[in-house]
Amino acid sequence: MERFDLRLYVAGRNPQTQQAIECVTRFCGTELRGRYNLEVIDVLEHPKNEGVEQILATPTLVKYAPGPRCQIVGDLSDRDTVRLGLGISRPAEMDST
Amino acid sequence: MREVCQDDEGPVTGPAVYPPHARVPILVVEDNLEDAELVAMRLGILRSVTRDVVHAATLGEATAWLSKHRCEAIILDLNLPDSKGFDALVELRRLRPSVPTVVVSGFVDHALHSAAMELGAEEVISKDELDSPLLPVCILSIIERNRAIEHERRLARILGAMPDAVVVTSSTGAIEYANDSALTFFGKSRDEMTRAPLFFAAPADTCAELCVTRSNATRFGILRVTELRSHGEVSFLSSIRDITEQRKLETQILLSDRLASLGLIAASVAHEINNPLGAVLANVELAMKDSNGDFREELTDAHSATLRISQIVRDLKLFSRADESSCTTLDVHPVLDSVARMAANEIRHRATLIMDYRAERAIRGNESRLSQVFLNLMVNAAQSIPEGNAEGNEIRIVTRVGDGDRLLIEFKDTGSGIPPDVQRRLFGLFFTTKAAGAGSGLGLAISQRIVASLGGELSFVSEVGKGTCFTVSFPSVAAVTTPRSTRAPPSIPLAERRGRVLVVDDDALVLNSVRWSLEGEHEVVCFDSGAGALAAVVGGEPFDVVLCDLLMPRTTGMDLHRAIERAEPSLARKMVFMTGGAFTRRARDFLTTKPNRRLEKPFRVEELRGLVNELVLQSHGEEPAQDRRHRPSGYAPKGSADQRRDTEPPESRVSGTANASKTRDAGGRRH
Repeated sequence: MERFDLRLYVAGRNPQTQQAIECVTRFCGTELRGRYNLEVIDVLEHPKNEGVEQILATPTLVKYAPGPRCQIVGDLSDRDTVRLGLGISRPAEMDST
Repeated sequence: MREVCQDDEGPVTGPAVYPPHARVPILVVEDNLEDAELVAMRLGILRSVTRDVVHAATLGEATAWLSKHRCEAIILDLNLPDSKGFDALVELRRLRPSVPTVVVSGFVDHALHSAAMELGAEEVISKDELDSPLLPVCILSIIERNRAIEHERRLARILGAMPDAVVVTSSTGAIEYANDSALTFFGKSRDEMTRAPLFFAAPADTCAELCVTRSNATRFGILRVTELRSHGEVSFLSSIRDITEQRKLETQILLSDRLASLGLIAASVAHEINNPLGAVLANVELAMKDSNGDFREELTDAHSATLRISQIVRDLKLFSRADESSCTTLDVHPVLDSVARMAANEIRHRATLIMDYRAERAIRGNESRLSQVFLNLMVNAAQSIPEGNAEGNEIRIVTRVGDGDRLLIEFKDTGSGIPPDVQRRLFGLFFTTKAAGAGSGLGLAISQRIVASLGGELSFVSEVGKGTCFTVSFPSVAAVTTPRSTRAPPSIPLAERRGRVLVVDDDALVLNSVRWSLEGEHEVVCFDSGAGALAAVVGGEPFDVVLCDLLMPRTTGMDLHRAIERAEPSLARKMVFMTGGAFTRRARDFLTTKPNRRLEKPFRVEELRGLVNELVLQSHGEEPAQDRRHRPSGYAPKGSADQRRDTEPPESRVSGTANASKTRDAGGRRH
């Protein structure tokens, strides 16, 4: 299974940034389970970073791999859209029996 | 994401987006009358869609009619008496480029067809096709296609003009539509936006916050995403509203609010400190008089320390003025002095502070807001200089008169200077060179706003490695001549007249220090409540002066004044209000409307004595001679310092603590 190469772009340190980081790390933890690299980049600290110049806005989660690069912009607690962007399907329900 | 538009389920209903199509005629330009009638008959069935058919026999008639009317479509016979070749087509296309024109010709071949289409004809048909039942079908489809194109253009104009950014993306992240506002908001071209698959995320029925950081500005937006379904395919409609201006306003409101709370706390603290501070000040001064030179150094230091605390409290009150919008004519120098004291801690280890006052003009302004600006500039100056070399660095505050008689206030530092790319963004909102959390990036933006609102200008020059100079300039007015002297009041000579002084304050420390300051020269009667004091007045006890605290629990100084006004009006005029900082609106209004003298806590012993002696004299001067007969004979004639009257204290009278046994003579000395 391929590894996801992800970068989360945020602006500054504030409650929103914190929330975005938490959402994404929780998502990765539960749905990507170890198959990922996640890097958090503050656009205010690294404005000249190449990835920063390509994104539209913050917060943005960019998937560099697998497959073509894509960006997911906005409220990353919207798991449906994050899954759609990353190209993964909803996790199967746990069987309770 | 929410499902809204499902065009699989029939027509979209809802309010009309634009007015329904007006029904206008079809114009037939045909010189052969029979043919014209034939066309009219065939097209008759379209009357529900258009109106009647209008007939023009020549190009001239057609253009004349078109100059006054609109039409839905034109059927044009190229063979007209007043036109040759394609002239008629060219002319009608020129007059009505948005009306579909169908060309009719006796002989149609490929060359004619393509030439006519090239010139803008919608379609070319031959004469014998005029009598075909397909003619109305053809015309109708042409008309409807044209209408559809018009609708689409109108929609595009609407979306294009929308101030909100609108982006439609497919389920694979491809951009299906992006309006101009979207390109503007994100600061990207269409190419740049479509480079990689894009997804906008926002949970259903909520807004997500976005931030676009560009080199010269940061913009904030709120994003909503709606799901669109069309032919079983899902797309996402994202709209982003730019809330940058709103965010600026909100931040300013929050800041004002915080400052207002700070102001309230400062006022409260100042008020609480003033009573005990006054007691310390007065007692130290009394001890200095009393000590015969013992403890001179210690007492002198204690005294100047107390004066310093009292100045700090006064500076704090500057910031606590609740009335932030009023402008008065003011001298900026005391404000600068006060702010310099507040910034002293920031400056102390970094630079030598020099106040270089060369101007004597005043300005119209608001003290509280000005001190905010000055503090911001002074602290910025200090923070541009690293700690440790105070001798080698300087912060110089210069006031001078500049061009046009303006007052210039310059904040010069020998700090690191501001690099050019930072200079461009200096007044920008949220721009800061400090580490995240250390600077809000609001100080200069707000300072500029404040200065502008007071009719001034804020500018700067800076050189990296040399330093910076911020200049605030205001139109100036003539200097104000009310001196605010903080020098020690001169030593007051002994009272010429012995008087009766009523003192009312809920704080025993204040009562004691006032009593001890005055009892050598006057008879002092103390009450710790307004009710007790009023009882004494109403009961007929005469007083020359009433010293009254303004803000007391239960009965305030204002209540007491009103009661005394009713009971003994002449005494009401002799009331002096001791105020520690009137921070209720009622108290402030009261003070501005009453002509009574006031003593601002903490006050010096000499200040108190001077005022009381003056008022006692005044009180005696006012008294008509016959009223003196009604006074108890406790008034000692001038100069006899030994006679003192002991009056029996009634209930709530406060006779002081154990020290009451130590009496004081007229010089204030105990024995």
